[in-house]
Amino acid sequence: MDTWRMLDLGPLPAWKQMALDKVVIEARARDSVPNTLRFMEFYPPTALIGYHQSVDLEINRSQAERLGVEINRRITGGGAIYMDAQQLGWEICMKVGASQRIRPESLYPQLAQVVVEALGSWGIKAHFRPVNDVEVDGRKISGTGGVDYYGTVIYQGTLLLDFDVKTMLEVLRLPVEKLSDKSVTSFAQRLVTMRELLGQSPPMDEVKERVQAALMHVLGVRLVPSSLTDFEADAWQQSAETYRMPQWIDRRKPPQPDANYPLENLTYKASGGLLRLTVQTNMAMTHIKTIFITGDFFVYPERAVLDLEAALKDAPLEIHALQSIVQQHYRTGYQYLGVKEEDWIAALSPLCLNRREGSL
Amino acid sequence: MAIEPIHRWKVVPGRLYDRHHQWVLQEDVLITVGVTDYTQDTAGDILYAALPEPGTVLVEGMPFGSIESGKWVGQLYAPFDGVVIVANALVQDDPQILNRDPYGQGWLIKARATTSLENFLSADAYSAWLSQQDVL
Repeated sequence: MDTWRMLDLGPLPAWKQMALDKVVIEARARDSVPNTLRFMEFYPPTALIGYHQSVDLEINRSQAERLGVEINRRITGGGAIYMDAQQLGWEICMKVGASQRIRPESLYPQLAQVVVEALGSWGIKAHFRPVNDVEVDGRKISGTGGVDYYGTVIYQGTLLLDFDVKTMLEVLRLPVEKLSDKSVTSFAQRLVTMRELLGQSPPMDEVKERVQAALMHVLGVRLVPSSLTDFEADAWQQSAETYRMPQWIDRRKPPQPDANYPLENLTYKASGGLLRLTVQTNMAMTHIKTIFITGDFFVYPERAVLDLEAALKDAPLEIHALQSIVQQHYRTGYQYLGVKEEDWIAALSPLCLNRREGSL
Repeated sequence: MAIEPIHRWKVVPGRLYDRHHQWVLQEDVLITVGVTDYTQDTAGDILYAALPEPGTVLVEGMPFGSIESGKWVGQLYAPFDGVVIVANALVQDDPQILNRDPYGQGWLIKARATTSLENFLSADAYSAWLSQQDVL
């Protein structure tokens, strides 16, 4: 049975956490430390963008500053997130082989099972949902992302013990027109916390214990509480400052200082009701970045809409690709009344670059 | 009798390959670097690519750029010591070109090398090696 180490350095500012990610993955790549489970808590609260994102496209800097929310960049991929003391960051750092290219769609479900099983110990029925979510009844409780480096990976995510949706909406630049009660409610419906599911937020230490137990069971390894090696501690001290510098945090700039992701509000009348789609695309308008679906149609179960939103995240704006995603979604057996597959494609088609592909 | 590779990925003859699943093609003094079909296929839909500025010094084996797919950041590793002459703007504007045409329009950089390419794999050798790789 392999022995892994567990690192838990308690709440730290984001720049120290990000620096430590790099130190740990480098140490593991060099084989100077074993595979590692690391917990991350953030203090002060932090808005984190993905490695390839631009701060100014994702975060409202002035609001973050006003609220005392730090800003930083992860070494892993994915979107912008808000972290405060009510979320647990967890990460798995493991060696996979020097010549390995990672197939995210294969690796994620295996490793996300650790969180799924940890939640299961409270009786919470969570599941992995592609691309990168762990969900409960369609609502996201953990988002994940990863990076590889010389045959070593970090796969990391958040676990929502509780969540301050209002602050997140103020700090992150999400496609909502104003901070209305409705938009707060709408976002809150797409997330779920352990507090909501259990009636109260569980103690952080208990969550950590159960994640550790789940990791040992899922991966069949022994886990030993540990501390950084002297080499890691030195490397961390030497490198940490660079992760609070603009050269790191702002290493990718938006095309123009006041740029925004394109945002489209689409409506389509299906026989079963009106579909309202708020779609944010990437700058090149080749992919969906985020989509919010509302309307007055009926579907059972209600999670279907959240699953469709998740399935369409990052989808290419090509008719055939969208058709394939929607077909797959309908195959899972959701019951839409009077809303057919082709209605979704018709609703989205104004955004597609190659409409000639389809015969709409 | 020729032995068919047991993998499904395209390997283009006439190029050299490294063990990070990248190809190089020498044309006079410039060497073009790209990722292989295996890399784009395992990554899935590539949404971001970060490439170096012209003039960036390449150190063999060190990351010189990155790609992102499915919320995953994968590294691009310098195949040789050298200096970047040009990075492919098409790839940065439309990273999916790496999925569509990794051996053609999806080239990454053109660089001058200061180390030799003698340790690279031929197309046949890479194809044979690829057949032995596990895919996560």
